Parts: sequence; C-alpha cells; structure tokens
Amino acid sequence: MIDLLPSEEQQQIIDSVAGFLAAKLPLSRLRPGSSGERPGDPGISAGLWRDMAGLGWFGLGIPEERGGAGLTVIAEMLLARELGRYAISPSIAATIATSHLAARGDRDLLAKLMAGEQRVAVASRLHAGSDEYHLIDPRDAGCCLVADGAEVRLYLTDAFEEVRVVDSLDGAIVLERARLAPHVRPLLRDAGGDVGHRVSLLNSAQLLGVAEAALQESVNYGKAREQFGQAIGSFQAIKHRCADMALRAEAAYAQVFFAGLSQAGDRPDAVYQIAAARVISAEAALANSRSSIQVHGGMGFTAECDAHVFLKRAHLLGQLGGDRCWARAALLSRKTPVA
Amino acid sequence: MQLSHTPEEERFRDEVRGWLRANVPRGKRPRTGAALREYDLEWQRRQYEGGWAGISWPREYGGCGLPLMQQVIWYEECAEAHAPVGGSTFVGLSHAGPTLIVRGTEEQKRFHLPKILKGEAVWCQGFSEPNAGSDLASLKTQARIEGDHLVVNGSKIWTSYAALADWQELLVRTDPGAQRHKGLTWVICDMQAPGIRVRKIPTMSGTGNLCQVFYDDVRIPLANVVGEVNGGWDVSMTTLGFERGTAFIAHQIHLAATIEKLYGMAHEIRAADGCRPAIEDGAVAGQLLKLRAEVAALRAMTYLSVSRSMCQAVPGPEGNIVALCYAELSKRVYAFAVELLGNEGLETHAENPDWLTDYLDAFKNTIAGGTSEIRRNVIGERVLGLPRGGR
Repeated sequence: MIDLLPSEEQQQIIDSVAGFLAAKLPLSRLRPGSSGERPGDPGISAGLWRDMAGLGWFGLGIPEERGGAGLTVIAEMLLARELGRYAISPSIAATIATSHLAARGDRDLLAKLMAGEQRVAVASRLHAGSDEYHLIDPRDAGCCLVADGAEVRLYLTDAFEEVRVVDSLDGAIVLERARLAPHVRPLLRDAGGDVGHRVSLLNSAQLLGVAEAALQESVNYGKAREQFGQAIGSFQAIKHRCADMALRAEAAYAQVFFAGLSQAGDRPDAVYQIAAARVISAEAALANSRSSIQVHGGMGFTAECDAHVFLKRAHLLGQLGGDRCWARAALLSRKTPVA
Repeated sequence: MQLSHTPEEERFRDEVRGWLRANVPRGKRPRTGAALREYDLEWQRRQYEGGWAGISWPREYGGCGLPLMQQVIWYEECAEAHAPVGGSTFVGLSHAGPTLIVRGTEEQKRFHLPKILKGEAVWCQGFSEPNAGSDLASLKTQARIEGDHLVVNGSKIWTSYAALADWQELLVRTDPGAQRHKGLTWVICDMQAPGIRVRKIPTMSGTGNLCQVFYDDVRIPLANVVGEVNGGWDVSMTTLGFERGTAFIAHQIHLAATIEKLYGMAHEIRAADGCRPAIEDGAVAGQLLKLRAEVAALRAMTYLSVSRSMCQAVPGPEGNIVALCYAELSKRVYAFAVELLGNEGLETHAENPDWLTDYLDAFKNTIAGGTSEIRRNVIGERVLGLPRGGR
C-alpha cells in the first residue's frame, strides 16, 4: 500500500503545530512597524521554547522507552514543514536532529533537549575544508550542530572562536561568523548517515513549507487584488504563474515525503530519494518565492508583504543541511536503485 | 502515510512478473500500418488468454476488477518488462469500453465489450475538430435524425489510428440550436460505413498515426447512441472519470529508463571540448542530476495521485498537475538528449535515430489530450480556486 496523504493522526500534528505558530509566532512578527521601524527581536523566548518542548516537539521521533512519542521521521518532517511556512528558526530542526544523536548514548543530554532546557543551533561550514562557520541563532544555544553530508558533529558553542555578528540576508535569524577552534573534539558525532539524512529531510521539509506558503499567499492575493475591474487571479498571466507554483509545490511535497517514507522504511534507495528531495524542494522554494514577489506586484517589493521573507528563507535553508555537494554527488554517482 | 507492500501484493507482483516474462512480445513494435494493428491486437489477445485483459474493468464485464494498488503493480511490471502499453488498443480499453460499461445499453455492452477485451477490435476517438480543439464544446460536426438513423456530416481531426480502427467514439451536434455543451450526442460509429474518408496527417517527427476523418452523409443507427440524444457531453465526461492516475505509471517509468540511458551516454560521448567524457562537463552534470531528481519526483507525484484516487469517488482536478509535470519534463529530457548528441544529432541516420524521433514526438505531449495552457487554467481554477476568466 502506498499512501502519501497524511493520516488522521498526522493531520492532528499539522493542525496542532500550525495552530501554535499562528498564535505565537505569526509571520506578522517579522513585519516593520507602522512608521517603518524594524521588527523587534526575532528570537524565540525561553518561555516559548519550553512550550514547544511541552508539546513534545523535540521527542516526536524518539522511541517511547526513551521518553519520546515513538513516531517516525514523517511526524518530524510535518512539524518542520510548518516551521518553513512561518520562517521559524532552524534551531528547532537542529535540536530535533540532536535528540537522535543523543539518544545513541547521552541520556542526560537527551533529557535536557526534550525538556526544552538545551537549545541547539545550526553551525554551517562556509565551504568544505574551511574552519569558518556561520552560526544561526546561537544565542541561548549551548551547542551547535554541524552537518557535513552524511556526517554530523555536535560541538559546544564555546568551541567557536573569533565570533562576530554579521548582517543577515534573512532578517528572521541572528547570523554570526566564527572559527572552530583547532583540534577541538565534538561532543557527539555520527558518521553512519542516519542522523545526517534526518537533518537533510528536515531541511527539505522546511523548504517545502516555504514553497507552499509562497504559493498560498500568491493565490490569496490573486483572489483579493482587483485590477481592470476583476480579480487579477482571473488573468491567465497570473493564473498560469500560480499553476506552475502549484506544480513545484506538489512535486516537492510528493518527493520530500516519499524520501521520508524511504528513510523510515530503511529502503535501499533512501539516500537517492533524500538527495532528490533536497534538490527539488530547494528549487521549489526559490522559484516559488521569487514568483510570489512578482504576483504581488509593487506590494511584493515591500517589507510589509511576506513574499521577501520566503525568498530570504529559501536562500538560507538552501545553504543548510550540509548536503548541497552531497546531494549532487548522490544524484550523479550511483545508478538509480530500483525499489 | 505509508510505503510498503502486503504479502498479498508481493505475491501478486511475482505472479505478474512471471507471466509477463513469458508472454511479452519480443519483436519491436511497428510504428504504423496494418503491422502495428496486428501487433497490438495480438498482444491484447495474449493478455486475454492469460486472464489479464481489462485490469481495471469490473469482473461482471469480463475484466480483472483489480484493486487500484494491484493496477499500479501491473503497470510497473509492464514497464519493467518492456511490455507495450497503450497504442491502438488504448481508446477501446481506457475510454470507449469503460464508457459503455457505465452508460451503454445491454446490447451495446454485449456486442462491443468482449471484442475489446479479446483483441478483436480497434477503437479511435472522434472529439476534436479543425475548429474545435481546446474549446471542444464548440464542435460543429452535425448529425440530423432521419427515421431510426443519424446522418453525420463534418470532420474530426487528431484522431490517432483512424485508418486502422473498426469503431469510433464520436461526439456530434444533434441540436444545432442548442448552446455549446447542450445538443451534443455520443455515438458509436462504424469506421467502415459508407461516406467516411480518412486522411493521414504527416507529423513533424515523420511518424505517428494521426488522421483527419471526413463524414459525408454517414448513416449511423440510432441504436448506436450511448446515453441520451443531446446528452453526449455528460457521457464524454464519464470517460474522464476513469482516469485514476495509473495511466502515468508507464510514461513515468519509461522516462526514468530514458534518463538512465542518457546517464550511460554521458559517460561514453565526448564533451564539446573533445577532451573528456560529457559527464565531466559541469553543465552537463548539472542538467543530468536535475533531470534525475525531477524524474524521481514525477514518480512520487504519481504515487500521490494514486493515494488521492483511493479516497475519491470521482478523480479530482489534481490529476492535471502530474499530467502537466510529465508533459513539460518529457520535453526537457529529450531536448537534453539532442544537446548531448551534439553534431551527431543533425543526422537522422546516426546510430540513435530514436532519440531524434522521440525528441520531435515529445512536442505533442504539451498539446495532445489537453494543452499545458488548458491544464494550467484547470489547476488555477479548480485546484487553487482562482476565479474563472477570459480564455
């Protein structure tokens, strides 16, 4: 049986996460004030973080005997997809992935992560072989997770030196630049691929959320905005643009969750499917967010419209997951496994 | 969400695989003519004798009545076994037959359905006209009622296999005063009837079985009307109700196999600079990996379509998304193939003439059966809920 639609239980996860985010971290938090002042601190407060932990976000895929909900990676991806829609900090996905790393041996850390007492930030190496990293939302995060293809490493945030805050393209995050101290050993490390693939899937799911949200806002605008006496969405120039966005969103949805199911079922072609999901979702997020700006016309160029938030988030996520080169290689180096 | 097969489904797959291995025709499928008809009908007869005719048809009409998931497995295995899918038997098995099952009279069913299943008849479709393409409801081929016959005058176009067909599902205007969708009638036309003339239409790929059909006082018994006189639009819509997303499985697997051939080719063919295999050219590699990812996504989209079909009584408009995706992607895949061939691609007598034929043939994919533009309208209006506008 093949079923790529959410089950009732999975739909409850979607509704619960979306409801929480719409109430606590709506996209409007990123809009400038009425007199043009920049939006406030985009960070997630300690209270909100604990609320998320209380909802079980950091243990969805952790086995029940270790205190988690015992669900598959699909549940975590459904959560990540909503995070993408609301341009929420990538720290949440990093913390979820780190739970799996900790579940392999560090029970104390696992407990802290699931209780919301320990945040993990993303550390993204500028390029292979470099000791320079981007740290994303590292404040309040005791650890940083590095994903290099199939390998993931967890470092103390203190292991990074020469830290300086830099201006971020994506204004919804705090971006720092730092060097990893030489010879520092990671707290935890996994080269087996399982956690690395999870990082990639969570990243692709966030990209999917961006692609879908950009489509949805374009469709809403196409229905509401009138020119020449009618809704602009009635014009083929707009309608066909939206149809192409729907195609990219649907392709990304199907491939991202097909890849997730392949991983959950430990299928022989899982790596290939995950790589394809990465390429398809990144392209969908970028193309849809760009297209959304055009659909919104002059409004789309302003910071008062959410379209730019999706574009910038697509660029950010497109650099994360540590898997750009890995995904390219996976899609080029092996014969397509038949499954 | 789930992705697994039950032991029963696995057993079914083994059974199908074994049967196909022993029975799939070995010879290459002729591109046109009586040889093509005979090849397609022989394969259909083989399937009938093996108990595999009409996999989606209900058992009471001689079909296999397979559950949707087993239909998926059947098509997957057909593609793996390089079994012919579609061709000149497609309209009978996938359009006319299912339409008769739902809307036909007992006599029509008794006469036609066994012939379709047993590989004794080829059907063609007579919907589009020279002046009614995307705007099908504006069709003008006229049928007046004389006693117990319809008398048909006019012309149909883009009719595949008309020159090889025994029967046609024909949509005609029986009430010239009625507006558009009203006043149309769906009728079974005997392609051997006096007054029918078929003209073959040469295509840009030099292949294909496209025809135009002319009707000059063609007499069709009223007993051949399916559904009500003037109720033909409704009947033609039931045909669309059979599309459950399985039709794309064969296309999608064929396209995946094509990409793998190109992957192999990119290792053998020299890059434009002549110094290295094409695959080491970053631009070639970039295109190839993107196409591989897109073909993977097409497969996942097909499964998504099937997932939706399992919980819908009537297939929804979402099927247009995967159809649009296939159409556009297939054109890009063959365009990439020709680019890879370089100068060799200018010679139709080169080692791989099929690449050029397939490339040129793929241009029809964004036109036939609904243009990409019409599909985008349907996606915009019926999937996304955007307001209807001018055409």
